[in-house]
Amino acid sequence: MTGLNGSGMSMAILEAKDLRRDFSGVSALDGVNLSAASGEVVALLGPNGAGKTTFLRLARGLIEPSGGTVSIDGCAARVLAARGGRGVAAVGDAWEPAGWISADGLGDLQASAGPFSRRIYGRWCEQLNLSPYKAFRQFSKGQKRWILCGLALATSPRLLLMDEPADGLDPSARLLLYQALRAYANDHDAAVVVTTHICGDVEKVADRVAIIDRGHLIVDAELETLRHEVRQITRPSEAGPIVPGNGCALEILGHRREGAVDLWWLRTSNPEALSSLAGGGEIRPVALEDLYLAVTAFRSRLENAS
Amino acid sequence: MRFFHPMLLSYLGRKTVWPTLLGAAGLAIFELFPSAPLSGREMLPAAIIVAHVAWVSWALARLDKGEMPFLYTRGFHWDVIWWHRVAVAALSALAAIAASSLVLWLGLRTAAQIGMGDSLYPLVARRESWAPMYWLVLYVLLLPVGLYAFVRAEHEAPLGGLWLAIAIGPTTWFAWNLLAGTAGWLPRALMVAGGCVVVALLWAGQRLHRNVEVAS
Repeated sequence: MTGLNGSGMSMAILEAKDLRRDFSGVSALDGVNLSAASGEVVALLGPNGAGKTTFLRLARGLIEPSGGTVSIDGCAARVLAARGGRGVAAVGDAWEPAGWISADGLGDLQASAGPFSRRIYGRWCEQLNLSPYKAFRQFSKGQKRWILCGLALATSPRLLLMDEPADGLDPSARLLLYQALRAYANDHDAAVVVTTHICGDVEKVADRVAIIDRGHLIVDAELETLRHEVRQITRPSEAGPIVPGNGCALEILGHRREGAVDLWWLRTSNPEALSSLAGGGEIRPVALEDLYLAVTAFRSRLENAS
Repeated sequence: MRFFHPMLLSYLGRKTVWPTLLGAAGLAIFELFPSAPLSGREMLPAAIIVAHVAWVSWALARLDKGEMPFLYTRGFHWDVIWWHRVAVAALSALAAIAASSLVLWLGLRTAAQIGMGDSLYPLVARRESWAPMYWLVLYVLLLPVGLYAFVRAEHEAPLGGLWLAIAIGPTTWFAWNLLAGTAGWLPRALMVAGGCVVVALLWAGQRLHRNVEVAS
């Protein structure tokens, strides 16, 4: 981990400490510390196979941690899950009901399990004009995701865990979904953890960004903090490497050489002090996608080198 | 905690339609043909019951990919899911027994045997009308084994459930034959022992099910 820690809002609903999970001796998640507070939307980014889904499965209590803990409102996720997991709703990447059940039938099943607002669910489905009587298998991929998100939101959970919820949705539906998630977190003081590969979506909705790569949490910071403190410096390669601690507290998040120039992604609490490092090069704020690509590639190179 | 959820029962019940048809149709069709009066200890219905139990247990434990995490994240207490699995399996067995009983009690077997020229019928029809009750006992003994074996297979040692089924299956078969064929204290003792095993397996299954890892 780079040491970029989220400031942590008032009350952590989800809290993972040194969370580890192995599958047949292979580490899928290694020492992850991550929390989600009430009213907070945390976006979990990472390459395919990085451990995002494993984290969500652990948080929902579907699998046992190999080490560390993950708790929801102080209760171990596994214990809570076996008790039904009230107050926690999850939409998994591949968690789908049987194809024969209708959207309406899904509402009945969900209502049978616990608190559920048919009004919210009905309105949600109406937004995309989804027939309540159509079999689930007859809906498109995006429509299925929409229905499952509606089911989750209509249970009024304190914690929403969503694994690529916008997968298959068209841009307008995706926007609607993320707006709904943002509003839900604000209005209900709920925590939302959402994984996605689309950084543009994250910038619309998230308070905090966590990047997982190869089972390690490498970035965990508030989006505003990243916007304020992370900069990209482009400078001639002959200027040599940037050394942390050279006049200002500095953290190197990524580095890439492009021809005769070096691209550096740096974090500092005092971006103005970076001008001395630019060496005539260019300093500019960093888009989240660039940062994501830089830190994952940088880490990959570091690991390959070691 | 609300314990009975008709929607959950119906959702899980859909998983067992085909095995139930196998059990019901298998037993009902079997009954039409043997010329010897039914004793309840024939090999073929026992094999049908074993296949039915195995299929039902498998269908309830191994929901399609993605379906299991979906169901287990709806908000049902996992004990509730377990007992609904047991209830659905029991209903599936009862459907098979009901179908086989109807074939006997409505006289379909008698009609078939008379049609085939069997001179014993309708004289012995009444005597064999209780054969499905022996099959019901076999279901009661084997279903908990199947349900337990598959929930155990979800844990770290998948073959553990298989060995258990192999160990308990022949024992049950032997005890069941003994029970059906003799009188006196031994069948009663075996019935009590069988009852204890059934309760223990269902209870142990519930405990294991609480800690099952739900794959996706």
